[in-house]
Amino acid sequence: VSFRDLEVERQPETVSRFDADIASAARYERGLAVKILIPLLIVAVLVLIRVFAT
Amino acid sequence: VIIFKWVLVAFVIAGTLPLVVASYQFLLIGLHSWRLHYPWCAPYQPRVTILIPAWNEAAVIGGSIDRLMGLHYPRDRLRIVVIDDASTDQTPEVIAAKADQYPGSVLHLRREVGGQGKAQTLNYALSRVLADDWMQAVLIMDSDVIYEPDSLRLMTGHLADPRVGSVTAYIKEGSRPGNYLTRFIGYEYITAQAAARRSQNVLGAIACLAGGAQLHSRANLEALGGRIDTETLAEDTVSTFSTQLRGAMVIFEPHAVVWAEEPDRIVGLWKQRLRWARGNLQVTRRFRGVWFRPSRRKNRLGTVSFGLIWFALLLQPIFLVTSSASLVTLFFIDKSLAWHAFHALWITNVLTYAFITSYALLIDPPTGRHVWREAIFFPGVVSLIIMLIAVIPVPLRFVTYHVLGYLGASVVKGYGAEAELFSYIWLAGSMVVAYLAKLAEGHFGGRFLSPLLIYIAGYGSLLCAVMCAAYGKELVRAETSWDKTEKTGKMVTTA
Repeated sequence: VSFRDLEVERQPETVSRFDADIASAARYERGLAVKILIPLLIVAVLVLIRVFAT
Repeated sequence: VIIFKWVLVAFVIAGTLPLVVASYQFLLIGLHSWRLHYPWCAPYQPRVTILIPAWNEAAVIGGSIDRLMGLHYPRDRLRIVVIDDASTDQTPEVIAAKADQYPGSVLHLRREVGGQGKAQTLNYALSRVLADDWMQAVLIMDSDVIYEPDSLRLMTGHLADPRVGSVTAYIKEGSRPGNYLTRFIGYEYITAQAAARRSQNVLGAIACLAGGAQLHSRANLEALGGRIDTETLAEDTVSTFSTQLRGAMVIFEPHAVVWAEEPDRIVGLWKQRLRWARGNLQVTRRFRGVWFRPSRRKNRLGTVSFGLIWFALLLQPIFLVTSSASLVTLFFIDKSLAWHAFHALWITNVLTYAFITSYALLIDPPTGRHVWREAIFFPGVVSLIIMLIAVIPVPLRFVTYHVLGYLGASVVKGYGAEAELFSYIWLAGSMVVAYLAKLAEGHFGGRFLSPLLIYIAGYGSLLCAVMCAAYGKELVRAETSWDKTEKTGKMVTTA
């Protein structure tokens, strides 16, 4: 156990707020990982336009 | 001659490198959710001393202190130290009033001789703060920035991991209503901070702690010698590199949001960015033993990925000028090859631009809704037209000839070669037009002409022009004076 572990807040209110913050942030980051498909799709469409436009 | 031609083609294609590397960074964001530091975080709320260097900040300092006192953080674990760098306006009176309003929480440190720069001002306070055992972490910020209420709490959670030396936050442009320039900066900050720093989290190497949001553990500050670097114009980048070189981690917390007021005139932006660009050149020279020398055990600054990201941005104007010059040379040697190389260059640019722009707007949708026009016009109108021609040449030519024919004009056919040459020169020429926007700003009609020129040349070209100026200043070893960015307190935030 490190020095900082000993100082971590143990009050239920602080812990639950911390858990909620982390859960929300992690959810947002998972959403971003999925959203990358949209720009990739746009790039694919542009490639198709280029192929069929020439 | 054949080898020479292909060397030129290689130089042309190298012009895509900055955008290709930027796309690589954006692709890494997709991996961010698998590389989060949250499993090592805890509800850790250390005693934090907030250092605010202030020189003539009467317009903004009072509001900043009020906002800090409203942070969702235990009041008894916060101390605000305002280092008044010999202000000549009402700053001392404002700080004194706030010290009375928040007794024990706000402290006023005054330097009677100031103007030596932010790092010197911070060091004046750091020596005093470190002499006292109370502080467990230091937050270095600017006098105008506004922290969202939960931001500090999110940042300190990372310090529960003893491997972490520093944490930084997501700085957003907060001027409202703002103007075209602040909206361009707003978009730039999505790409340069929300996006780039997420990818740097994935790589395990952060390029820079945002100057307005640097949280250091006490252990890290002591390991850095208890002082901020004063030798360069990028003291925040030096702290970031030094922290990682000693084996500690630097984390970017994208959900800790901090609002900052950025310049709304090109002259102010130029001054600020010239300082940053020169600072980055100085950092590059200072840490020359780091680049492209992987050292997996201690830090990730020497990885090829991080080196590419750093130098693609630093050398972007050189890539553009070389690409442009190679195209022009090819034009006079082998027109057909020049045209094909030009197409390859711009098709790559279109694809990377589409990918980066659309993903950036999705990364921060609220800011994206405010700055989407500037996101589209980031490369400038002329470059957008060139991109359109690169993607759909045949239909566009068909439409153009028919429209012009209907209007009774046939000039395009006659000026084909000139138009071709112009588009080859444009990569480098756009920087000149962006520089003209800066020159025009202070003159009659500049209020309309400057934004027009920036929309034509692109905001990216303006940043490249600043980088060129930085090369020049560093080459002649110009004086490294600290030019302060003016702040007026025009931010409207949700904080």
